[in-house]
Amino acid sequence: MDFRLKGFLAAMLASLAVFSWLIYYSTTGDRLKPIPADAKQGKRIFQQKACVECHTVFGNGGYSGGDLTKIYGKFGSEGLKDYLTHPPVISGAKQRRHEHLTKEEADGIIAYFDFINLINTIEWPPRPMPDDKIR
Amino acid sequence: MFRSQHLSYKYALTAYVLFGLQGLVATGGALELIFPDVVFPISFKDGRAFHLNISIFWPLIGMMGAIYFFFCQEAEQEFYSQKLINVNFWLLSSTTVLILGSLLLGFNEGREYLEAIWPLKLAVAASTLLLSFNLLRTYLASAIPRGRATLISMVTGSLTLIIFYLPNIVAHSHPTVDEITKFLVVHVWEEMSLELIGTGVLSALLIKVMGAERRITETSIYLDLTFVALAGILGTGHHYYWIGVPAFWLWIGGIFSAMQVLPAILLLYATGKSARFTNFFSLSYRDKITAALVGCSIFYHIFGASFLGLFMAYPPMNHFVHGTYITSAHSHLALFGVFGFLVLAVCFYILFTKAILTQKMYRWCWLAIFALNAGLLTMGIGLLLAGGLQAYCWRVIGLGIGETNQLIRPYLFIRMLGGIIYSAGSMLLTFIVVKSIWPNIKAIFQTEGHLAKIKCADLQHIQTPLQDLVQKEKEAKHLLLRIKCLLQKLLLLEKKSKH
Repeated sequence: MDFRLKGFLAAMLASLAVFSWLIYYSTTGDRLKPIPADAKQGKRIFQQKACVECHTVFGNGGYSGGDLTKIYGKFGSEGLKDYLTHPPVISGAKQRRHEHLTKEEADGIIAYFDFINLINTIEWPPRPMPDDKIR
Repeated sequence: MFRSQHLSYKYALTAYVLFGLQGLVATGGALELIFPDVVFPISFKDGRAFHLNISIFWPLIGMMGAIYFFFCQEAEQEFYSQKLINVNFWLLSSTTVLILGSLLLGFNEGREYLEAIWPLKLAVAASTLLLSFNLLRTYLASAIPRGRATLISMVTGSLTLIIFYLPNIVAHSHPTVDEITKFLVVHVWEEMSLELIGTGVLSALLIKVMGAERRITETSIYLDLTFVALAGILGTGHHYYWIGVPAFWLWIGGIFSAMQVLPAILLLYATGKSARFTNFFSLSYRDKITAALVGCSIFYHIFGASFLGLFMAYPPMNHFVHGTYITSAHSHLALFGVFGFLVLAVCFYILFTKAILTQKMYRWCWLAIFALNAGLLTMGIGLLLAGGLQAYCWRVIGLGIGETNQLIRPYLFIRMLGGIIYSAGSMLLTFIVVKSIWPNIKAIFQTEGHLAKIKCADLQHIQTPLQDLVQKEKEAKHLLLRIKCLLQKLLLLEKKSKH
């Protein structure tokens, strides 16, 4: 076997092995808090409504609606429930409103937001200078 | 030309048709962001899901066609199974149509780039498996040295497509694990698998079109592949910085993302060293357009993907710019800029081995390429400015969503204008390709079995003129014999007259 081919295959296998091990290490033990059932259900609703097309979670998703990672810490359960069940007109529009959720859907999604709010994202998003609302 | 190469034409044509469609829907989405009160036939979330998925599938279909075309050229033999090439085409293209249709109807699994419902994801996985199987069997049966770099890159790239897709068939309940898995497709497919395949395909194309010397390019290709394997896999860490995993990913992602610049520079070095650019003006119309599209891909590889990506992946910088339109700018410049242009180049080359590019269409091609670049750069600039302002408003001065969206509206308008210019270019290029290939459209979609029948029919057509030639040969032989006898008689008469 050509030594260049050996080198390439060795690099590939080594990268895969190290990558797999790092992922295993990052997700096992007590490094990840288990997701409770109500938050799991909330994540399903979040996906069914395709919220990720307009919003980001952990900064990944659509960039027009803002990030939701720490939204629970900012608005709390009551604030979010009111927003989702009585949606306001979205920014830039005069008539178009945010998607309306039923009370049960809102409760589920809020449980999901509560869970992700507690995930350690290494101080992301960064706190803006005048902001003291994020818990 | 191998018969397997003939079967790749329909892949290339389908890629172009989907490419032409992509810009239209995307422009609609960009308009909707500027004018949210206008009622569009497709909702923003359905349209965005459509756009994200079509942007994965048309390059994938085109790249598969390129593999089927160039692999047998490099392996110097037919594919193990031509039937599987056809089965793969119909499976992947029908799955793509079903995915896009279902997304427009609102069937969305709610994971970015992976919105397709799981049965259709299974079909995509089956398609990548068919490709890998056919490729591996052909590679093992080939008499060509196993270490040929172009073959290795296409085989390993194809195998990793299936490896990294399988964990994404279903969503994971924990959001951190879901994000980790998602980026196995969103990052590793693009920056490892398709980059491996693309290196092999591009090298094969440059050897054929620009006269690049294989001996010189082999070592460069291997170096390129090795860095892609290292940096492409571990560089995935730059997507894991803030998703709830330990902080060492900042180091892993940062270091290996910096390494990702190396394959791009190596590719540029290998292309510059081995390809004879002085030949450019003597190339055919087809080859000039192919070379121009490859040039666009390399440009965006250096600036849109590598340097902009490196800037964004640097953790202290990423802390501020992550989650803004800057990421969207990078996606457009890298995904379309690098792979989009590369797939357009190889598919153009493939299709115009069958069709003829007239002078008028050749000129329009240059117009289309200009529009694509102008549109893409305008979109990129608009998105970079919008994203930069978002980062400042949100991360530094703490403005809310509403106020920030008002401030970035002019830059999203620039993005929309760029999208319109780009869409004009994409539809023009698609029109040129479809119009040129149309006279041969039946031949493009013929099966491998029908190819065999055509060969027999061609042979029968040749038989009659051959019989005529044989008859004429007999008559000519008879005439020649008579001429010989006459000459002999004339020579004898001349001898007698001298005496």
